[in-house]
Amino acid sequence: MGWFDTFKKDFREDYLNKIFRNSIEDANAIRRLAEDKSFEQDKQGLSDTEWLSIVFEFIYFYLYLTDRFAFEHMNEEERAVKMTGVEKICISSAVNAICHEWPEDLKEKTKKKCMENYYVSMQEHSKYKKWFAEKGKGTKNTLFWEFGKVIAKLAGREMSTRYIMFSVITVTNSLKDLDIKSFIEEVK
Amino acid sequence: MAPFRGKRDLPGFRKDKEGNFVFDLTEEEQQEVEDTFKGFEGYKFNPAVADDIKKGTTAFALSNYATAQVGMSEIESQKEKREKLLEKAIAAIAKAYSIYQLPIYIYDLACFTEMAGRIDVARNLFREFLKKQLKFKPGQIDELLFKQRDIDEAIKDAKTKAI
Repeated sequence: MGWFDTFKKDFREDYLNKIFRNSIEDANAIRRLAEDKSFEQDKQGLSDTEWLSIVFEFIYFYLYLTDRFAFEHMNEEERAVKMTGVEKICISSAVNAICHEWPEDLKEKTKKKCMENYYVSMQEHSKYKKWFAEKGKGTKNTLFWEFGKVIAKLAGREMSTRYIMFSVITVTNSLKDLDIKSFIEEVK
Repeated sequence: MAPFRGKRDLPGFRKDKEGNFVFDLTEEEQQEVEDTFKGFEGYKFNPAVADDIKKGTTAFALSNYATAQVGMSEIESQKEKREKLLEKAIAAIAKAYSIYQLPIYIYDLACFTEMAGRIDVARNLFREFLKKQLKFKPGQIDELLFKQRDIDEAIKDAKTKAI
């Protein structure tokens, strides 16, 4: 119970807020990993730009997974009516929240850039059919592993297995909170 | 309503010559109010209720502004910036209640005060909310203004914190 519970739920808005909050928490977790002095020697922490890029990459990934679920569980007409514009609302709200002190024109430019980056991410993620490696097979070209590589690169720790694995675990945990399946059921 | 009597300068609040708290809207608050009124451009209202609608809408805009500040404080990692955002929220919601007396604004003020760490002040405000909410008989305009709010949930929450 608390103040946030005294607002009547719009399940769509609620879900997009969850994507945003989880992405912030995930990026903060990566930041804490980067600040761990027992492991980090050459580079400590994340710059603000690295942190911001990581937040949005998590947002894009969750939006991609939501769209993939929608594709599998809704017909084309349902998707067109119920899912159009979801990514724009989510990304726009995220920019407004994180960059609230920025001038309006810079915020608008950032939103436009983020939308472009989102489409690039969508194309990249859609190359990988398998979410995880099958038993006895390698992780290369599986969705979550390749996503982990993106995060590691954005954190300036390209190809670090530690960062890749941590990103995969972080995303897997956040997906439990997001419960994409329930959202798609509710929106249908 | 003066949220922190004399102990803190909240955005837009000041004391007049007699020592009473008065306020002006900050630039940001004014912008929020103007943006909200843009939504009513072209509408005509019965003169009998026009004043209430104007006050209610102004208060509604200020409460939305306050909500946005709290939302931003939740993701702000720097303590000083977080406190400033909460101060803005507290100031805005206090002004909202001064302009249009919806008890839910007292509840919001109590919550923001609690978030700012002023537990004793918050407790008194929760009690004040419960007292006022009990006697409150909402009109049509009131119901429009708090349509998005779950008042029963607010009462439940306030009861646990008013002790």
